[in-house]
Formats: sequence, C-alpha cells, structure tokens
Amino acid sequence: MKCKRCTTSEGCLVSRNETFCGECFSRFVLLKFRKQMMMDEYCQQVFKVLYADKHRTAVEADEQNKRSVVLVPLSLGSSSLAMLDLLNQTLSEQRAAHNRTGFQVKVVLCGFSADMDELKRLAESLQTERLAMNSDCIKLYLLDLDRSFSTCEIHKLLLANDNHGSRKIATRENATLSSILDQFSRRSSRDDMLWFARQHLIKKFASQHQVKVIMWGHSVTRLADEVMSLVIKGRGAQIAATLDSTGMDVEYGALFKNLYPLRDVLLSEIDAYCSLSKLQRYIYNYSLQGSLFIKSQDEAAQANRAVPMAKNMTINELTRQYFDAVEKDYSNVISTIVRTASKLDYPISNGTEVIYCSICNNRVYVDPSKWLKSITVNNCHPPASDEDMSMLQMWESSSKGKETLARNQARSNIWSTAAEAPLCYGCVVTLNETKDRELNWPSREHDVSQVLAEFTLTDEE
Amino acid sequence: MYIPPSDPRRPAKVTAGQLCELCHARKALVKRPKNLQKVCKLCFFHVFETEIHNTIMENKLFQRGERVAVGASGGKDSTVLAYILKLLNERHDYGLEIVLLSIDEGIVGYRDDSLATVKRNQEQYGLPLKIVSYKDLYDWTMDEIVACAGMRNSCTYCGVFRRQALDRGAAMLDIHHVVTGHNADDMAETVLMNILRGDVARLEKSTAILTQSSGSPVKRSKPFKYAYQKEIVLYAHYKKLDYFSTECSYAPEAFRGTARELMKNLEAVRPSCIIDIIHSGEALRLRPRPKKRAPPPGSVEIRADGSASLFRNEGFVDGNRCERCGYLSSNRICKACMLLEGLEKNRARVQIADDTSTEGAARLTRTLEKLHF
Repeated sequence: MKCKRCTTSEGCLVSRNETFCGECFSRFVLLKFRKQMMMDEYCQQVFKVLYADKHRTAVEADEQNKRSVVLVPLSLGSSSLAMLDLLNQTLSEQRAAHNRTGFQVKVVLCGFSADMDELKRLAESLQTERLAMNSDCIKLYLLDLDRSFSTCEIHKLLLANDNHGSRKIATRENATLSSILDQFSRRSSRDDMLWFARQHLIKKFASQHQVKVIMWGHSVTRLADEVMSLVIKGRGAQIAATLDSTGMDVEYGALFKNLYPLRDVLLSEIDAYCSLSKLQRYIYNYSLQGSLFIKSQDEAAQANRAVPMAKNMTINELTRQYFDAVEKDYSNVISTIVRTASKLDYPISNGTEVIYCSICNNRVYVDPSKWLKSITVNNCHPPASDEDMSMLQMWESSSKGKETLARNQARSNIWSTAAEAPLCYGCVVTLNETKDRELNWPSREHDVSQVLAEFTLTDEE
Repeated sequence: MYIPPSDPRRPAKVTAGQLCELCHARKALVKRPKNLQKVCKLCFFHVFETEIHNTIMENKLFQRGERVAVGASGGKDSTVLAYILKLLNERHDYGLEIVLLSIDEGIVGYRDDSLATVKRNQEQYGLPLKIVSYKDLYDWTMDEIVACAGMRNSCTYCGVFRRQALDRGAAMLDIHHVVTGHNADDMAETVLMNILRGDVARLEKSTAILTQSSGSPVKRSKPFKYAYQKEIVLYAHYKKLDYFSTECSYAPEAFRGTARELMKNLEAVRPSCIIDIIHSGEALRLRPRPKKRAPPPGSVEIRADGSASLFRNEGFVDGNRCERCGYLSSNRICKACMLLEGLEKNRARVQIADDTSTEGAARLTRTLEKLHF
C-alpha cells in the first residue's frame, strides 16, 4: 500500500487510520513537535533565531540567542531520546538556514550509581555519533541520583498515629536515594518517590542554570497515565500545575516553563519514530513497541512478553495496561483524558497562606489532616465485659503493647517541640504505608551543581 | 510434620498482635481499607455508624421534621442505608420521618425477588413503603423495553427512567428529599468515568453529596459518599441484615465495566484508592471559559453544515421543564420522553393477548448462556 501523504513511496506503518512511509511519518512527528514548541510568544522568543529589530540590536539578539537555554531531562527511554533527536534536527536546520542557532540545549541524564557506567557509555556514543554536528550548543550532564542527596540535610518526617498532622525533626543520618526509597515496601510508592526526587533535581538544576524551558519528553499516552494516576493517588489538585505549559513554574521561583512538546504524539508513534530513526541502540531499560508497523518487527517478542501480576504493578503501569486494553474499542480515550485534564484549573485554596508539601513540593490546597479527620473516626467502642478488660490488660503487658505505648508517648513528646511539616494528601497516604509512619527525606534547599561538576561530559565553559 | 486440627469447642488463644488496634480488648475481625486499621466487630460498628453520622452532620443533610424517602432496591447499600438511618434517627434524634421508596422496573426474575426483600425490610424496620412501577408511569416494563430495543442499551433506558421515577414517587408521597445508597466505590467510579469520557459538564459535580436543582422540589443526597462498599457488605453481614445480593440480569454498561475492572486492580495495589479518587474528584475545577463575543441581537447563526436555529438556544437554564411531561429537563423535551418516543415507534402494532413471552427475558438469556453440551 502506498503512503497516503506522498503517494509515491511504499507505506510501512499505519497510524490514526492512515498509511505512512518512513519519511512522511518522521515529518509528521516533527511537525507535531514543532507546533507545541512554538505554542506561545515566550517559546517563540526562546527557540527562534533572533536578529536585530526595533526591540534589540544585533549584539543583543546574539546575546539573547546564547541565553536561550532549554533543558532536556533524558532518561534514555524512547520519548526523551526522540525529543532530543528532534531538537538536534531543529538545530541543524537553523544552522543551515541562518548559519547560527536560536537556542542552547542542556541535557541532564539521571541515574543510580550502579547504572552510571552504562549511562555514560551510551551518552558518549550518542554525543559522538548523533549530536556531533551541534556539539557546541548541546551539553550533556550526568547526575548520580545516589550522590545527589548525599550532601543535603535530611529530615525525619513523622505522621501522627491517627494521620492527623505531621512534624519534622532533623536527623544526622546520611542517606542515599536508594536507602531513602528502601523505606517503602510497595513498588508503586517507591516509583512515586523516585519520580519526585528526580523531578526536584531536574527543576533545581534548571533554576540554578538559567534555563528558560524544561522540555519533558512525555507522550500523550504518558500524560494520560500521569493524569489518571494523579487522580487515583488523591493528587487530583496537582493536575492543573502538572500540565501547565502556559505559566512559569512558580514553585521554583518562576524562572522557567515546563513544556511537553510531544503531547500530541502517541507512545506507539514515538516508538515507531525511534525505530525509523535508528535510535534503538541508545535506549536503556526500555523495549520499543513495533505495533504500528505493517510488518510487525517484533511480533515474536511481543507474543513472548510476560504479563506481570496486577499486585506487583505500579499505579502508572496499571493505568497503562488499562489503556492498552480499551484502546481497541474506545480509541480516543487517551487523547480525551489529556484534553479534559488541560481544561482543569488550579483548585481554590482553603487558607490564605501558600503551603507546599514537604515531600513532593506540590502546593497544598486542602489540609489533608482536617479532611481525613472529618471522614474517619479513630475512637473505639469502650471495653465493657470482664473478658474485654482482661484482654486489654494482656495487651498492655505484652511486648507489642508496651512498644506501641512507648512509641505513642515518644511521638507525643516530640510533637510539642518538633517543627510542623505540611504534607499533601497523596504524601500522607504514602507515608501511612511506611513502617512506624516515618520517613527520612531530603530537605528542599540544596545545591546540585556540586554533584554535577565531575560528571559533566561536555562543559567547555 | 502432622499438625492436629484445632478443637472448635475450645477457641484458640488470642495473641496481642491479633487484637483490635482501637480498643486493644477484642479480637480484630475487619481490616479497614480506608486506613488499613485492624478493628474488632464492635469498634467497626461504632466507627462505621459514627462516620455516617459525621457525614450527615458535617454536610447538614437533614432538617428537623423533614420527611425523607430512602431509595430502596433491596440490595446491600439501600438495606444498610434504611437500617442505619432509622438507627441514627433514633440515637441522635434527627426528627426525621423515613419512608421506603422502591422502583419496580419490571424485570422478572430479578426485581420481583428484590422487591420481596424490600417488603420484608418494611416489616423488620417498621417503615412505610411505596412502590412505583415503570409500567404505571411509562406503560413499559424493562423486559418489554429490552424485547423491543435490545439488551445493549438497557442501562441507558433504565437509568433515565429510574431517575424520573424516584422523583415522581417522592412527589406522590409529598416528599422533597430522596436519600440513595450510592457508596464511595460508586462515587470513585463516576469520577473515573467522567474523566475517561471527557464529560466536562459533570466533572465538577461528580462528588457532590447533595444535588439540588432550583426548579425541582426534590433534592437528593448520598450519606454513604465516604463509605466503602466492602465495609457496607461487612456491616450488613455482621448485623445479619436481610438483603438481596444478585446483580441485575441485564448486561451492565460495557465501558463502566472496564472502569470497574480497573478499580478492582487498583484496590489490590492501593487499598485506599477509592477515597483517594474522591479526594481528587473534590479538587477538580474547570478553568473558566473565555467569553465569546456576543452576536448582534436578532442575528441568526448559520452553521458549517448550512443549518440554522431560528430560535436561538439561550443555553442551559436551571429549572427548565419538559414540554411533554413537565419533568425537569435542560432541553425542550426530556431524555425520558425522547426515549419513549423511540420505543413507541417500534412497538408492535399487533400483540398476542396476555403475552408473557417477554417476561424474564433476561433470566432466560442468562440460563441459556450457562447451558453447555
């Protein structure tokens, strides 16, 4: 079957009921990317090659081109890799047309210490093989997640026994991110916390490096997962802030914008783009789906792919699995979710004071303790019979009883002196899952540039 | 190694770890999905009843001397609701007059059995009962509707008709408040469904505990908004309440079924997810729409397809009424009248006298499905 766009080449894949040849498909993805990239005046000023005009002189325009720095958080999954490739193409086109570029790219690659060698190898080969032409304006940084929190202050966050209120105390314990995440027994909570830590480091990096735009590689599929997962985790209030591409990120000093240039592209389309652009060899910890190709490239691999047990899956994985299942019968469900979510506004806050969560840094609109208190009763039906009283005595004299009473006493002693640590509803629920309802978590204020220094791959400054 | 079976006459010794986390004096029997607390039967009754009472008080659901109709289907939710409302009304002296209001959709093999349960509940709780049937109101039973329009859309017809029937039943009793047994699971499912379907009009209101339209004399409330279905079932079980536990014999709505399946999987990973979804639902707020420039007065808009409305739609007016039946409707003709019109067009012109072939069509289909050779 011929490609529906150019009508000359043979079609190799079908997407949105349309047959594409490789070239037209890559162009289709590039145009979707460009449309989002140039969505408003601010982004146009960042990405366009500026010349002298009535607002600026030639020197100023040149300076502004150099100061237009965008940040690409790279995970070496298909989406972020495809986005970096598309940005690289844009830079090359600008260079060919204007003999200069309109913006600079900083790429941050986050990983655990154990993965660092492999990430470094992949990043180096990506740089020499794919990004060499624009090496003067694309800089790669490696960020070791384990080391990144080693220099910062750690707080112990405590949740009241009845979930009503939280406090923080300073602790001298040293922590790596791996040890912080080990405090969670559920995979889903661990993944959430890892995402918060990673997101915090990236945004902190952006605010310390005069970045104008953070370009997240999220596909529409990933955004739909994210929206559904936020709703399921009780974080519905955060949807508007998460998807906000129009305003500046006020939680990090209103210095940069968050942009999702691939928000019109499905994950399967991004995977197909990666295959067509031969980016597979740089992908880490992810396997590309070839579902759009007419001659499916990895049918055997797809057939053999083990279906994980629902109990071992994270909330995001479960929602992704749900979309995969309903996509055939209700094809537009993914885009509907993202479209609906983009119509949401920031919730109205109960109080006048602006409060941020001590774990995820998101704004707290409704006091979760008050909300939980209004719907949950924590007092008991008093012991009445002699049997009840003897059981109560047995409990009080048991090691478990003594331990619980001592812990409650210790916590009430701390409560009066410890500083308040506001938490959002989602983090209260997550903290409730941990042993003894406490968590060692890094303080918000810390400098990431120290950790970066020795891992910068191409910093010629 | 052989382990001899325990002697059922001698109860096993309870250890400190097995005791209720609230009273520490009785053996824990229930793990609450809301906060993962292990509680004993008596503490469970106490917290469950007090939480419903708190929900009622916090949201000021009732007024003293008010007459309320409990939408009673005979299922677990409405049975527990009728029981607990009567209990709390006496315990906290709400001063309510409670009436059971049932809808007979006309589904032989399902609703007739569940109505028998409601009639037993009426005697057990000493509450008056009013039954309103689709046949009396619309001259159609659900069995006839399914025989005419097919099983696929059964929930669409049933849902629209039931909503009206409850209001009409309440009006017959001169009651202005209908209380329904919608629980936290239903509420969470609705929030998910509205997002999945992109139903922006319903998104903000999907977690409202009290719904009232300025033009309608009947308000509705959901005191079980924060009560888990699991806890309602456990409450009914431990209180030995008499309820009917069969699912409706017609096909459930297919898309809702997928959302229900997702929620089941989510609960295994995060037991509190139901209440978490409700918390999210309460925070969902739509961005105000940019105002369109008003067209000059007297102008007629020609749409892209060449059509035009001669009488310009003024948009949604709260309290608007259906031209045919007078029921509350956002359009000129209400949804129920539209559906009835469609049904009447397809009604058989000639019928066999005393035909009972459509009765229990759902039951028959289910029986046939189970047959195997």
